[in-house]
Amino acid sequence: MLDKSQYLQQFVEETREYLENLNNILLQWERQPEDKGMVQEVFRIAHTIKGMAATMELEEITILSHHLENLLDHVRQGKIKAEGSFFDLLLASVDALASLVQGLERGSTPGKEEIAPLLARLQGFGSGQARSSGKEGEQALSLSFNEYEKKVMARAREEGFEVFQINVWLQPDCLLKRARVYVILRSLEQLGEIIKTVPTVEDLEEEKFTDHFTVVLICRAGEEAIRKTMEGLAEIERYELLALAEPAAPAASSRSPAAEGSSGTKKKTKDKDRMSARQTVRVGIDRLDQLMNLVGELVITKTRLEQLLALHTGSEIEEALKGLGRISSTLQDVVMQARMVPVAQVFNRFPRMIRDMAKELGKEINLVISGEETELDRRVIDELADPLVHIIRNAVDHGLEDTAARVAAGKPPQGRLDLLAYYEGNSVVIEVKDDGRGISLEKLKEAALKGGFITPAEAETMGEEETLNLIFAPGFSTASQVSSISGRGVGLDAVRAKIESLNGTIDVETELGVGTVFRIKIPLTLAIIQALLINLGPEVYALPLERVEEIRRAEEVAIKSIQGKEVITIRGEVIPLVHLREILEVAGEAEGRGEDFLVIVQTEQQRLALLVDDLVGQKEIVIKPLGRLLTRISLWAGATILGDGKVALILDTDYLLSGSNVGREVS
Amino acid sequence: MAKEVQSQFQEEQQLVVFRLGSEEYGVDILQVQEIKRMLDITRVPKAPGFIEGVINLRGQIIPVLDLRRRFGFPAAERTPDSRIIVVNIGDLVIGLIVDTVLEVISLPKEAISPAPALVTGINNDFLAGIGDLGERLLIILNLEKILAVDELGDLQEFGQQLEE
Repeated sequence: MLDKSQYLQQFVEETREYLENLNNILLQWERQPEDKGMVQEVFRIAHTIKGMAATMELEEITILSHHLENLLDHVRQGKIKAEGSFFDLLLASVDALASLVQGLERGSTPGKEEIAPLLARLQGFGSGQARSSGKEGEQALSLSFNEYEKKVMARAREEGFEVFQINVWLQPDCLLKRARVYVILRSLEQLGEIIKTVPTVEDLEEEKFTDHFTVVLICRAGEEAIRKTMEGLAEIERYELLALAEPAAPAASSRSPAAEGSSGTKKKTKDKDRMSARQTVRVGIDRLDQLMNLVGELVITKTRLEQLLALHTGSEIEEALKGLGRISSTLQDVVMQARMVPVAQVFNRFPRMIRDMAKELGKEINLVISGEETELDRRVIDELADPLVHIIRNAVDHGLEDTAARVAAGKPPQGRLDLLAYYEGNSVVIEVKDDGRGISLEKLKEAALKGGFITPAEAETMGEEETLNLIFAPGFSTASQVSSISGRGVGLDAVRAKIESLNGTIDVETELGVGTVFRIKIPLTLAIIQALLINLGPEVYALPLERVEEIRRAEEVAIKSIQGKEVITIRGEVIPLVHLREILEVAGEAEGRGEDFLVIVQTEQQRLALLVDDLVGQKEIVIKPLGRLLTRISLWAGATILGDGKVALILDTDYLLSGSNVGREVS
Repeated sequence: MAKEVQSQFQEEQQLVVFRLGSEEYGVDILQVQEIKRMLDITRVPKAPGFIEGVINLRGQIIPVLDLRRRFGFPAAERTPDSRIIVVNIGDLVIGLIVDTVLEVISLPKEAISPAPALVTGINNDFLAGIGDLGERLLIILNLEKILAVDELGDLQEFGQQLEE
């Protein structure tokens, strides 16, 4: 009993991964039902789950995966054809398994009766369809490559060639098979190099085959050219074209094979790399958090040491300090990297979600995923899932038109949804792009007027960007009808709040009739930043250094008043003055005014000049969350612990403007 | 033997007893993480009034709440006896400033009566019951209610919005 519970968490996690994988493979299989490799893959995963569940004595999961395995076995033997409702059933089974696993985590034990209807369907399906089974001898020829062939393929890929497997079935009444094969091989050789055939070329030439054979071709011509060639040839009953994905290389990239398959291209998933024993250890995220905290403490202690030893200038001490600095920053990097996971982890769930939504809404949607190997902090990825779901739902529901409307608008009937991630400087950008109807600025304004978000006067003067930003206003909605999928007038403001809590930004671009792009930008490293520490009376606050543009002595700058607001002028630019003491309600008066400093910061909207009492200095600080009770106060980006153990709050300069804080009236 | 111990636990509640002004209060010991001497508290501008600030609890930032202010009592000087009781409520860790911590007691369940409309000077919602200690009365607090501020409600709403 004790043993089991000890492994339960591990079982849950691993099974989750398997199920997620299974989901993706099924979606890919559904697109290319002829691919026999998929059955093997799905069968293998179902079998693994069954085995693990049996070891854990989890009866329901064992039974369900056993039935799944049986059904798949029928497919393997060609008794059942993989098509249509077969995939719905498989996906439903995966869902059921997922909810059983989720139940385990909550500690609930499901009754057998819960899965009974599904079991009945699984069994029924096998017997119902068995009669309409496909032809005998249609099984794909299994391919295995020797070392030499693998090397050739690897070299070819390095040089930008693609490897294709072409399964050819000749018409049964084909008379001169030998000649036909010769013509096919010759035609394919025009495109590239044939490195292998099954059966061998000799056997083919001697007609030692029934009516199908397989060719492996290396070429640069691309899928289309091969199809064109194949379709130009006579006496072929049918053929299959498969791009052979890269086999699991020893230096396995973090690219998730499952996600690769979902990118719309027809690649064959060889999910070997997770199965092969990689040199990895599973570590709980909480341990990484702990490690991260400790590294943070180390950086703090290092900073404190530097402070203490600043008085004792000795080359030996300095050198030791530098060494410590180097080690702690390397350690910091390593720990950060350990926390990085590919965004595929969150992207992976979308193909299934979009398939289901598209079915429900009767839309055709081609999801194209790219850059899923881009890495982000694990915590951030977890936090990103909800906002992304929201944006994608919006895109599928409101953005993309249904087939009829698309055709009427002269667009391809299939809507396209791009989900891409890439690095940009020190940030990761995630884009959700649809080629749907776009957002009408006029309608936005109308709805905003109706909802009382803006006045008619404001509507007149509003620029494009400003208008578009209305969609992020709390409670704002333009949806004319509420569907089960989205459009209840809540959401995008919550999405933005979430992204901003991750120090990120979100913006949107749209063109009427062409489509909409949501762009989320998240900083790569969240936990440690360079900051400027300032004094207000006895209190210390931190300003993110990347926002600080320059610092001036207050006495050097003349404070003017424009329309009753205090401003300063630097190089001709008029910058509002912010009395930080007043905004933060610091008790007492600033003494010795001549010593004050002006810190010019860049905010999202404009530059501001912050009047502060004194500068403490520039420090590397560890951002700590303020906790649930205080995160609602957007003025604070978090807090940090100073060298003396005291807490200093980190100002989010973007929110200094909320409320009438700027440029106090000059009395 | 084991049974006896168990039943004993069921019939008794362990409470941390502290003082605010002239009254004695109790909180369920299961909700108390630790009791600290006063620490440096960093004021958080723009925070709700009863949030005194934040403290550094072994590298974690924890909000601290002044119970006097929460109950609308007059403010009092901090003394060497002042303590911060760090409590866990749900997934929230928060410090409560009290005048002094007195003791930990076991109170039989039958000595606890449901909160009466008694003149305790604090909102009845905040009470979980009144403990009878013989000559003294113990006000047992309902921490969930004390922390059920608007901000929390907003947060839950926010989560729901995202789910939709």
